[in-house]
Amino acid sequence: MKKIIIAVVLLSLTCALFANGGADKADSVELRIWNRNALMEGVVKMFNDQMEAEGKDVRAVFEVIPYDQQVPKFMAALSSNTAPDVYSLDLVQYPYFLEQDAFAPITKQYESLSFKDALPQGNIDVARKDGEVYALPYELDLSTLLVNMDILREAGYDKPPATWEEYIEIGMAVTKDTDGDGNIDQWGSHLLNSAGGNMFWGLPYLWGNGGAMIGPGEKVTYDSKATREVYQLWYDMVHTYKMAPESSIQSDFNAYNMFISGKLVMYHGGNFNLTSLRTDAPEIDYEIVPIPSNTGRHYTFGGGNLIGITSQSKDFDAAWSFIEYALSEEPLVEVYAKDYGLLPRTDLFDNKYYRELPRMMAFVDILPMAKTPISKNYNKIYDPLLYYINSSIRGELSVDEAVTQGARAIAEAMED
Amino acid sequence: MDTNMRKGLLYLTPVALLIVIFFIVPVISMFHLSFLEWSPTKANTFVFFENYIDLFHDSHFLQSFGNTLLYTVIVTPIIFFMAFFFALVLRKNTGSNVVYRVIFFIPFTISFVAASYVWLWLLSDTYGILNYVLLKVGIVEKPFNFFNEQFRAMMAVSMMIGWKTQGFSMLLLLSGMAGIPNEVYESAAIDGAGRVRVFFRITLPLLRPTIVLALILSLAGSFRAFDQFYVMTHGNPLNRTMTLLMYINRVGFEYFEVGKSAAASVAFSLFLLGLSVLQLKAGRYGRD
Repeated sequence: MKKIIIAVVLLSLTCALFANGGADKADSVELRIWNRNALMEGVVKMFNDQMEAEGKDVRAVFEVIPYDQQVPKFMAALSSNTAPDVYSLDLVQYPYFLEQDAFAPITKQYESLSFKDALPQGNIDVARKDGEVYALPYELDLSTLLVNMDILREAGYDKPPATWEEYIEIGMAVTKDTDGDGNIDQWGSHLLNSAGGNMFWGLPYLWGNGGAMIGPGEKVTYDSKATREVYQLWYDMVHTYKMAPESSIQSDFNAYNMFISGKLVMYHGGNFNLTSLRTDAPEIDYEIVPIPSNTGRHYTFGGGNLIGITSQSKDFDAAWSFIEYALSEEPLVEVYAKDYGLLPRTDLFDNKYYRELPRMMAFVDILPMAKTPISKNYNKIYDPLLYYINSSIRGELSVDEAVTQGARAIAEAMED
Repeated sequence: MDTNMRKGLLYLTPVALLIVIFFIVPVISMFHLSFLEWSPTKANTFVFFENYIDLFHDSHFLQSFGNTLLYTVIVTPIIFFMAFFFALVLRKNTGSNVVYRVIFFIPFTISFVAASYVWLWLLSDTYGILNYVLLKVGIVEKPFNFFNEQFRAMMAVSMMIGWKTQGFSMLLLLSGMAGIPNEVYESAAIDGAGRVRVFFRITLPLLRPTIVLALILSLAGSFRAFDQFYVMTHGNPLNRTMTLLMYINRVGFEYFEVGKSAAASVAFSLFLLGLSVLQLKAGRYGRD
């Protein structure tokens, strides 16, 4: 009898334990959040505090993904069914992953947002497929020109260039041998030394000249007069106007270091440089302007991250509650604006941190100029383009040959 | 099966499992992938040899293979002759030689990425210290560009790798030299052999197995070149320093063509397998 009682008690305790554990498991939600930007950790912490304060058993866990790993890690996770719940991924990667059904649609949720009109629509278009929205802008990167105004004023110019003509004139005027040793040690501007750079800063030159790389229906429109003029400008910057070093097409060219040491006057940078410039070169008085244009219409490459819920998320509602929170005022201002990150909501630009750094307000005007190329073959395009652009600048191919062959390479990549 | 045999197999099991999980399964998986059109979320399609046909029609694959061969041909002698020279100079066990051995070995302990960045800064034509010195001394009239031409860029990377890795080969050769009995040198001295004769008739033949080993290791390392080119040239100028591993990485993780990338890995593995057979034969020749 005693043995039976002990067995019953043990069985009851075991059942109670499992029942309790099961209940815990059913109620608690753990969200896995991935982002290449480590600032997201602050947002995750605030979200967890908020959930705890509201008595909700939802907890987010953050993992920072190095830039070079953001695609391979995601591919491996998807193939092993271990993708995170929420991923803030480089927007140019979305077309491929949307084709792979890697993200869940959030159209209804997006439509219900009170601030949806304050989000840059060009970036959202990258994450649209078959009428559905799959991700929303989160971190923004805009390509611009940062101009050292101290050197410009010394040379007799009081405003940065807006047109190609002004760009060349100022570039030539400020390029000089400052120590008289016969070598140029202060350059007007520079070319773009990476495949991604040629897209991020190079395409705004083309768009601003009335051209395009890909037209509607993914038709390649690169072989044009507008592209030839841009190639010719870059060639002339080195060989005719001598305002940019030829070595600036090489991957070892560190334009940022040259800019902060006063050896480069007009630097292709962006909003992401503002935080480091405050510590690296607080003495430089610089202005942020759009990439010079030949037609009066300026463009910027709308890059950055889009945040979405992966199709493998176990709890869609909890994942959306995280995105909704991450896009709300408190985390955006207290985490991103505090670090002078560019906010995805224009209605939040008037905040205490941006007011401390008025240069941030330049992006209010630049943001509407944003444009983003959309193609699942984007990654295949930029390496061949780097080849043809650099071949033209090095004089190994004429401008005509480089543009024609470059357009053909894009068309081949698009066919795959 | 006796008890000892069973025990032996039991002790081997953990290592055997590790080898199966982390080596054999991935290799089989790579072969399998090379016949597929792979998708991370959808059903994979079996495409037979399509990836291989694509691969051998891709000029960038052939170019990257040629670049890797060229790099190997340049870097292997650089590493070997530097290491051999330092090993000969520092072979005697004096206090100062021990210090120099340590100094020459230290770069080997630095990561490839860190060493590449240090050399990038040294060699830059816009802010590099080397060009600054060359200009000040008057050796060059304008900054010398180390990276705008294939051979120069290969040489720049090879010099960095020579500086970084020769310390290891030097240690191998030093240990080989230490293994040569002193009596042999004493007999040669009694017979009146000069330094050059001793070097070519005694040191070099007796050192052959170590030389073969040092060459095998540096050859294998140079075929697997990735970090140094990724950091210092990124494959430029015009893909002329893109190595095979860079190509495999680009095709798989930038172009999302995982099947083709696996096919390139298989082709590369088979090539390395052939090379290893030759190396083993050479090693056997060294021991004879």
